[in-house]
Amino acid sequence: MSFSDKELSRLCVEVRSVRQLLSRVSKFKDASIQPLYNVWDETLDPPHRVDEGDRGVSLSWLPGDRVSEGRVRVPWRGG
Amino acid sequence: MAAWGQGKRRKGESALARGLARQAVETLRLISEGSLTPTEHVSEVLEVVRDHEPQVRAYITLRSPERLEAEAKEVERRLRQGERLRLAGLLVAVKDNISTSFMPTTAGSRILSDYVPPYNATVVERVIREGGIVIGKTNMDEFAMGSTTELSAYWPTRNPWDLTRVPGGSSGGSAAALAYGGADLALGSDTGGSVRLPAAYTATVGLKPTYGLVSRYGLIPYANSLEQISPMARSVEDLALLLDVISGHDARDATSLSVKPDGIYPPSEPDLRRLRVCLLREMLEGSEEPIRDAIERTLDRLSSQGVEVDYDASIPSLSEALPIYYTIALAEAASNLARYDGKLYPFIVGGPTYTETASGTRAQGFGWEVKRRIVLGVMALSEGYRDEYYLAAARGRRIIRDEILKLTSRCFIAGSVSPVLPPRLGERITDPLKLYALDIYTVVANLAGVPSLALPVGFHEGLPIGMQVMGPPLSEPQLLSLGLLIEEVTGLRGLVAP
Repeated sequence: MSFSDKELSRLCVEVRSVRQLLSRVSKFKDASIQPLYNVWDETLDPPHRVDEGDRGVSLSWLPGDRVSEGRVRVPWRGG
Repeated sequence: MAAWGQGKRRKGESALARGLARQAVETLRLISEGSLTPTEHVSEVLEVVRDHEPQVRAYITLRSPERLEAEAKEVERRLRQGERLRLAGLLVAVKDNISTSFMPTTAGSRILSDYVPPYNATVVERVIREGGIVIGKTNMDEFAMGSTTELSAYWPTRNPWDLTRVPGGSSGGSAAALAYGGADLALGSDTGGSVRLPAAYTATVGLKPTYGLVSRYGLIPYANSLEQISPMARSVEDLALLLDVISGHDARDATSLSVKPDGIYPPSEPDLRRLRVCLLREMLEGSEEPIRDAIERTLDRLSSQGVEVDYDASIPSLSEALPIYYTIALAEAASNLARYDGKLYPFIVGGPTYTETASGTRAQGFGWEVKRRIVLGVMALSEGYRDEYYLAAARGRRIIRDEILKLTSRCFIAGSVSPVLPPRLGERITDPLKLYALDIYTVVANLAGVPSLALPVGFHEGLPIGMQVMGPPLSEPQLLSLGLLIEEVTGLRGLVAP
C-alpha cells in the first residue's frame, strides 16, 4: 500500500493508539498455555469432528460461459 | 427508564406495515393456504421498500421488480407441482459479503465494485432451493470491519427507529431492512458481534451460530477463525426456520461440522425446571443504566417464570477479550486481504510494474479503516512482534474459550450486547478505540466459538435495547427455546419501525 505524507501522520497516531490496546495481550506471552488457533482443537474433543471425506470442488454446476478447459473463467481478466 | 412493549405503539403505521409486522412463518402459512401469493407478497414488500429505502439506504443492490416477480412466479409453479418449500416466497436480504452469482458482491468495498462471483455461497443455494427469494444485497462496513455500517465505501445506512442514529454493524443493512419491513428474513455475518450489535440497535433478532454449524463457503473472508454466516429475523421462530435451512455440513467448507443438533425448527417450549441463566458481571457493569435496567428486569421476569437465575457470575479474564479479539482478527485480516492485488478482481489501478499496480489498486480500492487494520495485522504477525502479539493473543484465547465452555456447561450466559444505546451517525468513527469498544461484549462468543442469540428486551426514549444469551457448542435448540421465553416475558416480537 502507499500513503501520502498526511495519511502517514494520521496512520502513525492511530496505530500508536490501537497498539496500546493490543499490547495488553503481551501478559499472556510467557504463559505455559498452548495457543488456540481453531476452537475445535483436541481440548474440546467433541463428536463434532470436521468431515475429511468429500472435500473436492466440482465445477460442473458453473454456467458454460464461466468455465474454460476445466478452470473458472474470469472475464474481466480476458480469460 | 426502559419502556416495556413500546414497539407495540406504532405511530402513523399503515395497514401495509402492520401486515409486514407479521412473522415470516405467518406469511408462509398464508401462502400455503392460498390466501396470499408469492407475487402479491413481493408487491407488498416492494411498496414498503420504496417508502423507506431513500431514507434508510439498507441495500447496496436491489433486484428489479420484474426479476423478483419472475422468481415469485417460479415459486408458484414449484408449489403447484407439489414441491414442499420451507421458505416458499419469503424475501431474504443477503449481506453483500456473501457470494451471489446473479448479483454483484462488493463486501462494501470499492475494491470489489463490479465483482460478480462465479458461484453462489452454500447458504444462498440452500435458501433458493427452499423457495426463498433473494431481494437484494445489503450494505455493510467494508469487509465487515466496523460496528456501525458507516464504513461502507458506498454510503452509511441509517437506523429506521431513529434516522439520526446508526443501525449497528457490520450487518447493519440486513438489520435495517428487517426493521422497516423490507425483507422477511436476512443473512448477515458475525466476526465479533456483527449481527448481534445490529439486532440490538434495531429491535430485531440475530444469532451467531456455533463455529462450523453454518457453511462459510462463499463468504468473503475477514477473520476465518472467528466468523460465521448468521441468520437474522424479526422473531425467534423466524430465525429458527432460517437457521434450520442454512445449517448443516458442507464438504466445500473445511471447517464445517459434520453434525447438526436436532430440534432447531420449530423451537420447542423451554423446560423451565432445567433452565439456568447466569448474568455475567463483566458483560453488564459497563453498560448504560437503561440497558442494565432492561436486562435485569428481563431476568427478573424469567425468574418469576421459574428459571433459575444467578445474578453474580464472573469471568475476570474477559477484561482482556477485546485486545485478544482484535489482535487475532487484524492478523487474519492482513493475511486474507493480501489477495486484492489488482490482478484477480475487476477494480484495477494499472501501473508499469506488478508492485505499482498492487500498490495503486490497494491505495484507491481500500478504505481507511481497512488500511489501518492491515497495517496493524501485519505488525502483529511480523518477525519480532509475533510472539508478543499474535501468539500471546492465541494463548489468551484458549483461557477465555476454556472458561466460557466451563460456565456454559452449567448455565446460559446473559449480558448486554452493546454498552451503549444506538450511537448517532459520526459519533464513534473518528476514534478507532471508541469504535472497537462497541464490540466489548460480543467478541467473547466468537473467541470461544459458542452460539449467542441477541434479541430485544426493551426501549429507552424510542431506542431499542438488546440482550444476548450464550450457550455451549451446538446448544442452538435450547438457546432458541430460551429466546421464545424471553419474547414471551417482554412481549417484544415481530417489531417494525414506525
